[in-house]
Amino acid sequence: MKGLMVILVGCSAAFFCSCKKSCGMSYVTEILTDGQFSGAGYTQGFGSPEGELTFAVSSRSASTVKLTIRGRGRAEAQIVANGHHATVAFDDSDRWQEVTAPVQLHAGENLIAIKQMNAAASPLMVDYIEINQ
Amino acid sequence: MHLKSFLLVVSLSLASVSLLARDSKYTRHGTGPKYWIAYEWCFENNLPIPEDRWKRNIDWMADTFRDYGYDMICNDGWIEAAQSINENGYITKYNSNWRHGFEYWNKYIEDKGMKVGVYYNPLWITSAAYYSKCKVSGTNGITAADIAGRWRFNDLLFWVDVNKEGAEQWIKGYVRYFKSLGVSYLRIDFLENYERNYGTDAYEKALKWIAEEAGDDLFLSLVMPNCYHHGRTELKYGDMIRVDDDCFKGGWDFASSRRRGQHKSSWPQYGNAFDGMVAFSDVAAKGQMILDGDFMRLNTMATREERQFLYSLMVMGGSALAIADQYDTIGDAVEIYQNREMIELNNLGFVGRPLSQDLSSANSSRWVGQLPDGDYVVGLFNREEDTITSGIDFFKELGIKEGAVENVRDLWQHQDLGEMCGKYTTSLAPHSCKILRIRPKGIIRYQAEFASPKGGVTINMANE
Repeated sequence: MKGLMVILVGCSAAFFCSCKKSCGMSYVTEILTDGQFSGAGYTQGFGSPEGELTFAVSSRSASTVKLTIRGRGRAEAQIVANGHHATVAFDDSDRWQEVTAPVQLHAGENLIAIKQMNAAASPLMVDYIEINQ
Repeated sequence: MHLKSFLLVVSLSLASVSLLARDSKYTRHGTGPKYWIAYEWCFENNLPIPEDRWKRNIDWMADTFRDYGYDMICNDGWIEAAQSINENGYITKYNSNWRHGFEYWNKYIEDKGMKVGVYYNPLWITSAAYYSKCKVSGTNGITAADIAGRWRFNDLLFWVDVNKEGAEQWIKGYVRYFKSLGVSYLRIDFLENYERNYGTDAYEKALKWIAEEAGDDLFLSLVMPNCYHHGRTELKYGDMIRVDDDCFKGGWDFASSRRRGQHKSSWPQYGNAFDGMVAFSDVAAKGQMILDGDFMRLNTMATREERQFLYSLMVMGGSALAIADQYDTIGDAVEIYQNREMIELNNLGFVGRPLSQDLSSANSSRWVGQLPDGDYVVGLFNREEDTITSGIDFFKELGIKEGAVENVRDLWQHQDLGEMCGKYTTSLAPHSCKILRIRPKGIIRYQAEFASPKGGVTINMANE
């Protein structure tokens, strides 16, 4: 029933899978679709110049890593990590999409901030970031 | 529990507010200090704490808790008898009947390897300063009496009127004075009284001056603030705000049941610690505001579970961890304050959020946050009088890929529960909690809803 609701409302195909492959235990879970946000929620309201979302991320060593951001909207976002800037663009306000950028981390705790670069017709929303170390 | 469909959630979501906040090393860290406060004896006896008891508590804290990171000692109110002043009219002792003043005791505390906090409001003028017509430092002959306002705080303390010439010099001079004494934490009380009598503009002006002078050298703890407009004024100038009524006699009344679910528009907006922490959780984050759930008197809690509950609430909300128990009252509550796995969360600047800010929702008793290493910390609380079933869904609520978890660790049992998939479910006895540290499998994902928003960025939670 839940899957059906996702298909109907989430405007995208929903799947069920077992995570046996991952942990060897039997539990049926859902695959995230591009109509859903992950976890308990998401963030929005990046429209003001001061609008910012900061993640605290620890790294075992200094390195350049691939940062994935899942967001939606038609907006450019600036990523600031340890004084280094990168820009990514989102071009779909109807679905969540992942974009990537390299970021430099130092050993220990890093702060990664995301800001919307300018006013957009469809403002930015952010679901999560992933760090591929 | 709702599905995570975006379209569904638009109508169900809770929009929290993030405003611009004071940028200090304290707010950037995210969590409050760990310290001892002299409240309990003063409250129980309605008197200033005696000097010999003050010393015994300092010695006990150094021996028992300093190595766990509780590194500060702070006096508390009952301050009217502080009428010993210096040439600028600033108080030199916690109490005029004490043998020693701040200089002596601050050195004593520092020699014990701890920092000094002071309870005082720089907007106060003692009767001693007022009637002796002390000159306000940095002015051309303006006296303390000249800057006193129309409304007194009480018989022994006047309020400064910030609209009078010389007020800025007095207030900033007081902050500078405390800094010169080596004080690292200023606990500024009765703010609602000032705002009520002198108005919000005057209140804001005073906080602005205090913050300007404090800089990064002094932690500003705002006590009894009205927090109008969800703390809009306090956010700009304070490091920490009180979010609930005083501890008073402590117990479950303070932790969860006093005026439960009831809201007032001015101080104290919430009657108990749990409600206050939930209601202001949206302004608590690194770079925003630190919440102050008030002091803990764990000796007043009825059971070990209740003691764990209150301490866990403070840790999950990023609150200051303020011990008000004393060397001769604490009983067997010492071990609660010494849980190094919980203390680590405070050290890391961890600030969690409830899955709902609706106080009538069971989801307001489930808290989640994320650590810099990607681990999730989940707090499951039972405020009720019956046993409940509670839990967390790794995929739907934490966003963990395929719901696959490398390890779940119980931070009160100090036990690894091992690999899990899907969800964790447990039975919670009345007034008990579970605090779990959850390590996801695979690539580390950091959820936006547990990150730190500011400047208008809002968090939308699905579980309303």
